[in-house]
Amino acid sequence: MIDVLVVDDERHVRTLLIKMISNLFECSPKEADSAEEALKICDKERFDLITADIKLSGMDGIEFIKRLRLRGIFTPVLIISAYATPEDIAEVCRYGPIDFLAKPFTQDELRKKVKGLLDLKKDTFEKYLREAEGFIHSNLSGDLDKAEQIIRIMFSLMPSSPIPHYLMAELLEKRGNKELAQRHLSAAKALDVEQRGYRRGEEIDTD
Amino acid sequence: MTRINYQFYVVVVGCGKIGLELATRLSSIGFNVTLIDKNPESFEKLPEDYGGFTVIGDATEREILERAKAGKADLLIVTTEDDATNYFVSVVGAKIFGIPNIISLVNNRENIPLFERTGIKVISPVSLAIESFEHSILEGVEQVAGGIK
Repeated sequence: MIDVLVVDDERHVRTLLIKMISNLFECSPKEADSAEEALKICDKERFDLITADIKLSGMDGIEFIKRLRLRGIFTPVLIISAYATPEDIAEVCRYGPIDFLAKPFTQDELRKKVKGLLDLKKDTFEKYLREAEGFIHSNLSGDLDKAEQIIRIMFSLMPSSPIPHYLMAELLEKRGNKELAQRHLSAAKALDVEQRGYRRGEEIDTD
Repeated sequence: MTRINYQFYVVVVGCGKIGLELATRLSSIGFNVTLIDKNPESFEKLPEDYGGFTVIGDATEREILERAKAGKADLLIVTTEDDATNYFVSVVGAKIFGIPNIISLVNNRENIPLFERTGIKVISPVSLAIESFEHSILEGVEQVAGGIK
């Protein structure tokens, strides 16, 4: 089960995307017909993946992705567009994780792109996990702040994962904020159904 | 209703009465549909629940069929009012894009042999109407004959 947001001002394409994604990944995607509406939704909810058209009436897709990242939301975005120019691609690649799919597309092309982005997200998350752990256990001044920044990105990548909470608990413990640390530890345990913790080298669930 | 789950990709050329209705029905059954028409206004008549792509352009231009990813299509349906256009697009679809299944509307019945010689399946409104009339008449005759027995 994954949470997906579909942003497209063309109703027919939105309808098709929702049908295809729900068919492929057994989920119920949310939809928005403008970047403005999509940003409002993203302020309230977190998603595993967002699909967005570049040419949107009002705020365009590139501006949408920039604002998303400025809000600290690092959800992978699949750009779906008939007219992506090389300039568009060059500009938006700085705001990864991102991939492109040209309209029209087959269901198989869509499946591969979505799966690719979800795998990438998992890899990125694992990389951040290693980095955050390194910073938490180093005794250099300022490293705890760096760890905190990384953990915040991890929260936005996988909102329902217990791992960022475990890390945050450990970090706060080091800073001596026992009360808040305890709260994060409880949140982590509530999310960690199988009580696996995070440092046993096991597979991380993307869901 | 049958669910095909979007694994079949269909390109429909012509968004007139037939093309529009057919594309809408196919999309609701679960085909992945791209509708091509050179007149952008023709897409305005598409119902809200049509879930599929639209490409504006002349399908007799190779670039337009490329933009519609005709090379990935499992089925090409050609429905314009002009048989010459229908024939040309069907042949290009088969020979250049290698689309395995092609069905074309043939407006003038005399053109049917031309299409069939090239291996294109045809739908002829006049032939269909005549067949339906015949069928309907014969059914009536059978009922009368049955009553006499």
